Amino acid sequence: MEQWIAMLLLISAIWLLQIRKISDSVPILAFQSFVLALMAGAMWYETKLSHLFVAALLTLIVKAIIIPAILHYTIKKIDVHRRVERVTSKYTSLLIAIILSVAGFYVTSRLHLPSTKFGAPYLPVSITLMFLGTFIMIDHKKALMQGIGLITIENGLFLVAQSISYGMPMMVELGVFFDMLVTVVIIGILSFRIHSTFESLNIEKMSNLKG
Amino acid sequence: MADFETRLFVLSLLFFVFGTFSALCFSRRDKWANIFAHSSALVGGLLGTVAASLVLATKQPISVTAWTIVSDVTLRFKVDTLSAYFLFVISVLAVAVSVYSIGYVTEYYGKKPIGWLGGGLNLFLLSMVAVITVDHSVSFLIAWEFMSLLSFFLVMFEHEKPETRKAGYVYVVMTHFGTVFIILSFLTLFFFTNRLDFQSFTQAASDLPASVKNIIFLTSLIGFGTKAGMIPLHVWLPRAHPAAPSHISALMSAVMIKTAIYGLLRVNYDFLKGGATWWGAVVLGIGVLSAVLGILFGVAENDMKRFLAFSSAENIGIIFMGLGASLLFRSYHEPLLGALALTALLYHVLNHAIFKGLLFMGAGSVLYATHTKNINELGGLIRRMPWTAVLFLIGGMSLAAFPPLNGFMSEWATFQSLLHLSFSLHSPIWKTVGGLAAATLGLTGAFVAGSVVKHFGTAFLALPRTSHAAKANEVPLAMRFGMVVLAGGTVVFGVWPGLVLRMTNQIVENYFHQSLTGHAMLYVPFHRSVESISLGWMTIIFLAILLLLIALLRVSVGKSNNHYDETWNCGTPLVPTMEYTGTSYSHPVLMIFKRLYGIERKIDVQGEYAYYPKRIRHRLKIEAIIETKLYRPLIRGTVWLSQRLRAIQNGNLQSYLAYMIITLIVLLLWIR
Repeated sequence: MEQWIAMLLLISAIWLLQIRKISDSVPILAFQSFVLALMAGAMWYETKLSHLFVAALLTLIVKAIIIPAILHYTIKKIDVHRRVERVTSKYTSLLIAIILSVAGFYVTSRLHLPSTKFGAPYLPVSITLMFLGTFIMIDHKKALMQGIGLITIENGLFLVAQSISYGMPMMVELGVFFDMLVTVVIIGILSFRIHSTFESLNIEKMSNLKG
Repeated sequence: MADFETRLFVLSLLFFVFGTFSALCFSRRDKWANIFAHSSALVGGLLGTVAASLVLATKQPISVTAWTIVSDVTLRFKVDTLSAYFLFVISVLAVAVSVYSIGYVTEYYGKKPIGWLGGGLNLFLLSMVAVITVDHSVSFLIAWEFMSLLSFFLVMFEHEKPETRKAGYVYVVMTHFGTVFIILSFLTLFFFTNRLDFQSFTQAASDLPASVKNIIFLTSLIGFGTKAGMIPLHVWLPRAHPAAPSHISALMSAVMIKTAIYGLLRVNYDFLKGGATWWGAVVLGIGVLSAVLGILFGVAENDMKRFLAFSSAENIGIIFMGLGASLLFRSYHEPLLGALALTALLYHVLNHAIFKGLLFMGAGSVLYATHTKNINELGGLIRRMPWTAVLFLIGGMSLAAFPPLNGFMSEWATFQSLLHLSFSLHSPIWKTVGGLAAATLGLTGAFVAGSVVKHFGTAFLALPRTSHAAKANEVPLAMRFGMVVLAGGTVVFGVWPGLVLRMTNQIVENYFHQSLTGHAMLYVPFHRSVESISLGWMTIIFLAILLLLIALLRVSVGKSNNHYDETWNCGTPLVPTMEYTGTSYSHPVLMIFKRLYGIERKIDVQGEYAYYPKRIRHRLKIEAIIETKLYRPLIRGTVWLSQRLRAIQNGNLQSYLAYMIITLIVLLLWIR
């Protein structure tokens, strides 16, 4: 069961690197967050820790529903149904993603991190998620995809916290969710502004701004 | 009785602290700030002198723990004989300079913040005392950095002048370059001894492997050498010294660069306890280079303070020669001769401090009275400023090593140790090198004498060339008194070398287990088997030679008869600007060493006929070969490298993210 969930998360992260259109990323992200919520729910079912239930519910509502909705709205508004632009080619990015996954698994096996009974299988995937999230930010040129990479990193962090100690304290968890929401709103607004200023979402054009 | 000396020492430090804060408190009132700052510096200096003399007399080290910064890092002052000797030098200069400053800073009344200048002076003195007395590498480096930064701020005191800003910039870059190497040297010591305090270094460092010792020696030589102003790391000297207010340049040149000599002695003798033969050879080589090149660059200068700065490089060269010789003798197990060389260098440290302080004060007095440092705009000052003239001449004669003044004694001792390199070491190499080094020291002395004649003659003799010089008045009493103190020092330490030998004896004995003492006045019995010199006899011989010369001239030329008449000047009226200038005086030397100076000479004749010129303009551009051939490519290379490195900093978000994740993965792979 845990292995399957971990694999789904990994696949969704790699999938984010392989999309054709920017709008494709939103359902994948929603799916990733949904799997995450499922995992937290499963963990709650097995451990009966009440705050895990809250985390699962919040993940479902905030990450799987509200954030994708905001992103979807932004994409519709600025009308970027065009193809994504990457620094590397599609296949190179797949290759790098695989190398990063291997690195993630290798690093985790060497680190001997403490982990909980039900969380241990997620640890390598969580670290890989962080690597892949950063790589999404590096690889994609469109400003909106930076936000999606950031959410992937956040998902990875959430997973680390879950697998090491069944989540962070409730207050921290709530704070992170709120931060996340605000970040996405800001990314949405910023993308809109960038698009209206530069007639493009390509962040390479933003280097014209530097002094 | 060590208790009493400790109290004196602490009290002297407290006076410097008090001087700093009281000067800052009265920074609105120039006169009060002046009096408070300099009188407390004076008292601090006097107390320091007494404390240092007592430590040197009783040979009992004193130690005060002021503050435990972290459990292993303490701010502790420990004055052993080596520290005490340097403390003596600093304190004597502090006394003279603070008296002098009371007069000198009146020039800045109403124009510049006196409180900051006086407070800075006190703090600068305090940091220098701290540098030579703390016994922990961390507190040493803190004090060292304080000293460098304070001197930088003091150099930048007249920051409204663009050349001062430039000088300050060069100085701060060079001094930090040096500090990096000092830190490297202490870190190497730390890696191999696992301790940071000097005492552990003293116990453990001499057992280190030879390669480690070599690294420590080289890094400390570069680090301290930069501060000392050895060639080719001297470039800040001729810029910073003229830019600073004169009493500050007196302190910097006389004392601050000596703290580097202290550092070298501490590292090479206390910690490493001598080393390979090539160490001595390297130091000796640098000494010879610094001495000859320093004075050759100095000869060309018409700016009094720039000349004095170059002459500091030359004197550091002489001190390095002594250090090199003593390291060589040590590696050849000749303790007695090593002791002689060490005594010579310590003696020269004191002497140079005294006469260079005096000369900088003299140059400062000229600047105070005439507002120019360029000797070609001066002239005839001896009539208007007789005190300054005589005191400057005493300093100059000491600089040029004229007996019976102090400069002579230490240079003579350095000569002896260099000659012993060829007499006593049984190797053809050292026989040649020793002779050559002694010969270059002689050459240096000749150039120094020439430059002193040039500067004294042009600035003080003949008629005033400009209105600056014509309107000059004698400087205030306080300034004259400050100079008189040091002029007295040149005479006392010149005719009474036994006094200095008594002070250095214990230091020399610590490192060489040989005693070199002198008891009688006018007599230096360095040791039975080493040459001694009697100044009494010297004076008699000199007088005899002089009388003989006069007698010979009388016999061959006949009775001199003076005939006064007008000078024929091709029909044009005689004006003071026609006098022989400093430029023309040093021109022959410039022509001989044309290559070295990179001279560019340009003569513009204006007017229709070449034989009836309306105007002739003579321009001489001197570009020191070291700066064009060594520093320019280095600076260009650094700038090029920085521009390449800037490619990393491309302002692209994705690149920064990539750096972060690569670093993260490497770190995760690296740690276990």
